[in-house]
Amino acid sequence: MKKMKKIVSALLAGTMAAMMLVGCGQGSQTAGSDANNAAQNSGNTEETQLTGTIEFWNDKLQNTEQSEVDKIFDSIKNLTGITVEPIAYPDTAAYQTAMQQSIREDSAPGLFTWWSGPQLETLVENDLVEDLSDLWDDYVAANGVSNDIKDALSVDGKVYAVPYSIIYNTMIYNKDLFSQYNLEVPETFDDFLNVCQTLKDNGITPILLKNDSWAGFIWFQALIASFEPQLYQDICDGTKDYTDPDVVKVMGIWQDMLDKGYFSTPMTIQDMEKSLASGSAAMMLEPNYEAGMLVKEYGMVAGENLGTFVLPSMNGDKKIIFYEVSPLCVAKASSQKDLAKEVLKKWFTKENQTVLTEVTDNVNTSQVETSNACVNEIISYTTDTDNYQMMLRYYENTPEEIRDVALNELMKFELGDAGADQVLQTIQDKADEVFGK
Amino acid sequence: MIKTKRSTKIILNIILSVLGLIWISPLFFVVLNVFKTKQEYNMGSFWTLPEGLNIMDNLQTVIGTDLFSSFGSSLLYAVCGAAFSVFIGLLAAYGLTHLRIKHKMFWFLFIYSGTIFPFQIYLIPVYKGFSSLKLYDTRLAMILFYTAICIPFCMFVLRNFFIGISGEVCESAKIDGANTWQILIHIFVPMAKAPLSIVFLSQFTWSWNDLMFGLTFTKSPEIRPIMASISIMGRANAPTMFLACIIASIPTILLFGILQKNFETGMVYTSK
Amino acid sequence: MTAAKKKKKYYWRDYLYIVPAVVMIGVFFISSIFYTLHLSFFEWDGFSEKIFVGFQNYINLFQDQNFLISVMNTLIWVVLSMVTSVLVPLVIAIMITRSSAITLFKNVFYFPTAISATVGGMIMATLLSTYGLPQIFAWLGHPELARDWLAIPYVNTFIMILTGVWQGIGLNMLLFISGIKNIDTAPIEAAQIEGASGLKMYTKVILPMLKPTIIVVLLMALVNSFKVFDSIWVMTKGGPYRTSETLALTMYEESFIYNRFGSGAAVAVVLTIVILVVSYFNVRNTFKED
Repeated sequence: MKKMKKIVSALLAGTMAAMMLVGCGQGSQTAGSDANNAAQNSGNTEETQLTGTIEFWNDKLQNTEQSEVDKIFDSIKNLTGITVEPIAYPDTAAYQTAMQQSIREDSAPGLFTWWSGPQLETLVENDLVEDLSDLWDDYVAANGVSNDIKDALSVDGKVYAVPYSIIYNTMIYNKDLFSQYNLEVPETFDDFLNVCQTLKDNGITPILLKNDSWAGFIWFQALIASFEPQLYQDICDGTKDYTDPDVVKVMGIWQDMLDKGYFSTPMTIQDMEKSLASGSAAMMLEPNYEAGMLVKEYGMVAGENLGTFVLPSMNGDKKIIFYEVSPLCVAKASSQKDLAKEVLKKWFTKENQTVLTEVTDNVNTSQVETSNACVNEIISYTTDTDNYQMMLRYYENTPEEIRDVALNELMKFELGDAGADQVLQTIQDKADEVFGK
Repeated sequence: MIKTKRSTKIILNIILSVLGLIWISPLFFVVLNVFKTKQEYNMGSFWTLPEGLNIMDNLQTVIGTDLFSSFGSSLLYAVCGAAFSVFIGLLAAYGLTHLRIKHKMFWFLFIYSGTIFPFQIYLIPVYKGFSSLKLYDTRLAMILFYTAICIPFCMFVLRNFFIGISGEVCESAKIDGANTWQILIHIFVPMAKAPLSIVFLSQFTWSWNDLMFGLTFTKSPEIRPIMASISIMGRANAPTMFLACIIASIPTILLFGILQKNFETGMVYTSK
Repeated sequence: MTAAKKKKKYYWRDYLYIVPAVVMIGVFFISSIFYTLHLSFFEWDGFSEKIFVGFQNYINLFQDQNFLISVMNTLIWVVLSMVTSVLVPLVIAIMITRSSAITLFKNVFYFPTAISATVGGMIMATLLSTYGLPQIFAWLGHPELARDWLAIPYVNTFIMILTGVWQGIGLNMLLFISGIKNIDTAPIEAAQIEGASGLKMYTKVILPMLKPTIIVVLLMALVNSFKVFDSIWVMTKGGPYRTSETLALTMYEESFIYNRFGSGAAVAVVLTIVILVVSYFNVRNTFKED
């Protein structure tokens, strides 16, 4: 026995030493060959079609299986001849540090995902990302990306990013439960409250809440916009106060819904999915990719026992769909930037987006048809401008200093740890400071 | 050691058995779920038995990732990081206890401060340093970093062990003609077998399990350590991730088994 | 003259033993803390030019309600960690050394330490979520407890500390067992002859002899609980509404989530000073004895 252990440890040590020698050599080689590739690439440009390798840094693909991720980049390789290597950073600090330190170097990634709003503006102000205005009309909008989202990716009228993902938040619900209790998709807000009451009376949790620390604004924005879309815009840009009587009224409605037990206690997203799929809860207000998750991971059938609708308006206005956009940028200093632009020219083609949608359940262009009926349904809302209107979600739509305060306060309210008056006053104090009143 | 009464011993055994069961019950949870498909895991109760044996499929999925290529890298980082840091820590601990060095307190705090600072502050400056020395995304950089970050703990534990060894031991050895190096190697190291094993194990485990630094200072799949590969799997497929975690825990458990004989050996030393 | 010279040369040789450690720590970490100190006097978003703001980051910090909650939480972690990572492993170590299956029990209690904190945190988060352990309370007739325990403000800090025991005691337990096995048995036998037994034996005879080990464990527990980050980040991300945040989390969020690197650096500096002072008072005595 003792001898055995000695042999094992000797073996371990031996392997280790060997690996170290090989390893160190390899490491430096890789770094070198990258530079070679880049040099070759720039030499080749004039003669033939661009080929080469670019890096795609992201903090998005960590929840997708490797074999699925490969599909996206196989597709783009087929379309352009360019190899795109995804490099995932599942940790925000790691990603921030790596981007911050390398974005000014020529080793910066050709393509990378980023955050819209102030974070994108910071990159633009420092002249770190390519102006992609030229690509927008011919390659992005022409392929069916909505022009409505252009603003969220622009700074001073110039486009600095294309959408990696556009996410639409709608109600996702368990159809079996609705038919079991003879419920229809609500057309008015009162209908909606009745649906909640009926479910509650039958021991079903009507609406699921998420426990992420930022998730407090989801129902705030939904109810405000359901009351009056303009009111939402006005409080976001400081035209109206959070202590406005209308806002107070909406908070009263929300409080009432909380008191009647229409909402679950906040829980993890996995538990929300499980509750909805198993039929212990009926609805959640979540992004479209959740419809994909519920089908792929929980075996629900879109259109059959899984459906979507948009929260009705309280006063007969258009129904509001809140969206968010993740920007995909090209680093200005990168030696791969020309190749990256070539990739972007094909990125929004129907072939490529179809693959992307199948893998991520994000829908970015109107040309894409998916096998998920719910996702198709959501696309149809976004093009039906007579009945639906899209608005940028609260998170990116208001100055971040106010937002950070508001997220905490609204979560307090949601958990019943603070009253509406107190919450609104605290947010307003911050808003006064920021808007300089 | 104190003699334990039979009855006390039985009570202790029972308490420890109950606690022990609680301690490994999360392991049952993990093992139970490794055999499930992802839908079965997502929908069912966590505590039900698996319906089929899906483990081979899950294993296939794990093999499809970068897990095994990063397994080798991590082994290299953890072994070298732990070994170098134990050696450097040993020298420093010896120096700070039995050699004539001024301001021992200052030098102790200087070295020890490596563990005091919140680790996140190292990200930006160390990245800057690595990238200007062209060490970013290399195995050498990872080994250097893990060595450095493990030194303070090794030094600290060994120093406190060496304090207990009386100076007379050194004096008599010196009279016999041994120099400081020989005293360290022939007298101190054999005595310190237990703490040396423990710090090696703990620093190996630390480096092996580190995610944040491994992720920040590397980008190539063949350079990135194993925890980076696991974290990329995320929540898409819990049974597969659990399986990957079990595989990833093998080296640390194996090492524990190999070193475990040493934990209680070593000389009895007089503490003041 | 020659004697003095000889002595000096001898000193110089001795310093060689600490040089590698000093160089490594200096290059990697001392430089980092100076960089952080420098950063804490600036306003910086990570990409733009740094703007010098003097002590403004520190002033803002002490006026920020969240920072004070964070300090409070950190203190709770520190105080309770004295129990969970010093007392609990010590008691278990003593029990194990007196049981009949030392190796078995040692393996069982060490096992969670072998898996990474991130993975352990994920397992714990799953167990504590709505469909994990809380479900047992629903079966027992307490449906109000069948909720995500980690989503309950303020309570979740205590739950996280408690679950921390699972992964936190392994290494300290090993150190204690090793310490107990290595102590000189002569004084114990002497005390036994004098009739000391049970608790008195431990407090008067054995614990004083374990002092070197206890100092190591105590100080590491202090430092680690001041800096606690991983387990909270995996389980609650500091929420809901920043109620479970500790200083290390505040530092992380300020820097990497809100991109206020100056303010994050200021938190780091405050945290560093506090730990340094605490460490100083802990080890000071061990140097006096020299």
